[in-house]
Amino acid sequence: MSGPLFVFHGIEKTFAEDEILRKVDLSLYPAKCILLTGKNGSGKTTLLKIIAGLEKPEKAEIEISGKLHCWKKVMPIIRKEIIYLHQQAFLFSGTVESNVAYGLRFTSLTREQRRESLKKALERSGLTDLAKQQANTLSGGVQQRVAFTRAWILKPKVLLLDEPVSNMDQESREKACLLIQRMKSAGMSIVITSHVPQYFDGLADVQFDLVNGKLLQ
Amino acid sequence: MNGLLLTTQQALQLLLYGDAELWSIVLLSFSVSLKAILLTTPFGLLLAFGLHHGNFPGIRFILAFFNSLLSVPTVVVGLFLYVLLTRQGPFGDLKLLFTQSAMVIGQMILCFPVLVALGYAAIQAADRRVWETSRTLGAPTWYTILTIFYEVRFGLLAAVLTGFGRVISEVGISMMVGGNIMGYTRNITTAIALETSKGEFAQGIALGLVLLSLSFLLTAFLSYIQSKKGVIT
Amino acid sequence: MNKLLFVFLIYIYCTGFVLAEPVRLATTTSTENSGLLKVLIPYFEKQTGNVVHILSFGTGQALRMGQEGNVDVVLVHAPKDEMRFVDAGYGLNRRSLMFNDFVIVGPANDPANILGENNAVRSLQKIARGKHLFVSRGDDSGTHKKELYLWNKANWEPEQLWYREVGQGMGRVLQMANELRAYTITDRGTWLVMRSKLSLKLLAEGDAELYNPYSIIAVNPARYPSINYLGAMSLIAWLTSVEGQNRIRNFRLEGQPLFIPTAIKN
Repeated sequence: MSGPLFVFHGIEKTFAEDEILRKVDLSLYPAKCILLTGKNGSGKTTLLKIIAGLEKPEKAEIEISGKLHCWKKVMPIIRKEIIYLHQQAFLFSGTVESNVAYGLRFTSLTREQRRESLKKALERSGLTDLAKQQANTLSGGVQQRVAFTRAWILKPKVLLLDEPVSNMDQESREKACLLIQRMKSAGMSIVITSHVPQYFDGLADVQFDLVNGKLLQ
Repeated sequence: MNGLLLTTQQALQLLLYGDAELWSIVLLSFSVSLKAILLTTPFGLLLAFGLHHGNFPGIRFILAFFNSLLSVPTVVVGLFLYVLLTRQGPFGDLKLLFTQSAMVIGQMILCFPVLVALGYAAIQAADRRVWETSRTLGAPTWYTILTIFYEVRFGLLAAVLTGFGRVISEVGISMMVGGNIMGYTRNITTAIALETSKGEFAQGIALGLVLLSLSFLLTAFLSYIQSKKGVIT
Repeated sequence: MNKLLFVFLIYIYCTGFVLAEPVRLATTTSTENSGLLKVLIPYFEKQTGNVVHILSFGTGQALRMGQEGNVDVVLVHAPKDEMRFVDAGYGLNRRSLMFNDFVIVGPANDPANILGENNAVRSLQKIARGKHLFVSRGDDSGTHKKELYLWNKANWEPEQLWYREVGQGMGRVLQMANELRAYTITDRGTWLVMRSKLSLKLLAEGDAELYNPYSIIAVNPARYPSINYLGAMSLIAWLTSVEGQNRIRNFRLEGQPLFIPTAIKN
């Protein structure tokens, strides 16, 4: 088994003098799935956003291949490798295609490669027919799929999914789990939050409960 | 009443038969005000963005300051600029007084608070997830800002149009630092003031009609935008 | 579409630069309103290649503009102030240019009964005694200075009850006097231009006190080196030349001359 991609040490976060996270440690391994549970407002979303580099912690250290760094210094690297997906996906105004292609322009791919990769991603997610549709005219389930594809196409090392199936019916939920399974087998490290852990039986390798700012196994 | 009808009729004739002097004044007005709004827009919107996303104390105070500047009388801006630009003033050596550049600068000062205050309101209305989604997908800061601007483009456009409406219709600044020089700094509003002072009401009304139809168009366009905004988000 | 917008933006950003250094002339509303300069200046521009920017204020403010170096040349009508302006070293080469005269106008029914009065001071006294409305420029212009001088000579302190100080140019003041059915004092040029739009009547004229001489003065380049002194001097030269003076003489409205040139003595 390969070593961890990133190890977060001692994440601390306070909101208006309220301690949300107290010295949280978390290791992200490739091809592993972490399930994060906890009550509403327990800080799951905040933790994910800090890991994705979208929110600033009071304190945190990050270990990358055995070396310890201050979070501020490695934030740009982290941000390239970790993608966070909202509970309710936000799609930019424009077509499905332009949404999926959004992150590609910041990669080092050539124009040709980008076009190729966009085409493949759309096919893989069954979005080819919808490519030219305005994103905001789609149903919630399809929007979620577009958001998945938009993240996946960038081949991140870590994917953070915030309540990914909470608004889905049985069928879409199963489809989504299958998709997550595929991403996992492709070597991605995945963190899922949910307050219904049963949905992810057999998918999650480890489960943590966030209680009073601490992670409990 | 008869007189009013007659002058309005004369005014329409002036407009329709392409009175060269009149149309050159209209053109000058637009040229100056467009320059002012276009030069100010990037700075105003960037500051608006900075105020929204920046996290420093005193933001409320700065916003209140810009909001209060929204209703500053144009002659006050004109006077302020005049004192700066007069030959004996601190910037007298630039020889800007009574030039189009001075008018542009004055109008820039005038529309800046409009762009900041209304731009701020528009950006504030943007979904917090725009920023996060753009960032997590690897966009650099500047591209993220552009993305947010694009998402709230209707609100920003409304801010720009409102700013344009304010500068194209102001008279205090143009009169004071432009000097109402025929063919050079005479714009619609100063020309109306002059023609009225000479009792040439037809010219004044003709120019007034131009401003009126412009403001009508702007308002119509704004409400169209607002209705569109409702559909999209 | 985008390219078009780009070209348009470049155009917007680049236009508005004036190539030739303009001659900035500060003048009074009375000369501007009369339309004299609009007729004269194009001839000057064509002959000398100069571009003239005309700014119209009251005489007081026009002199201030010269004093502060914001204009290159002033054309005004307040001899005492002009002398002071030159003596203080603000201006050079003062040349007398032309004259017309002031007249007293008022409502057609003439409640103060000054019709035909040829003594300006007595006319004002009659207006004041009857407390008839009088509109004053109140803008430190040449006309305003003349009016104050006459009130002073009449030994009368105007009271707010009937004396309206409005701080506007000559044309506006005539319109306001017209609306208020009030008396006022105006230069003959503006009166001739405006009278067809007014129901006021010319009531008193012909007093030597009502003489209204115009002069043109270059702003002293020693005080402000960036002044367009050559342009200013060539405008003075042209206006006081035989051609310029003839053009002033020939400027007429409804057959009436508005100004009588004085620069060249026969």
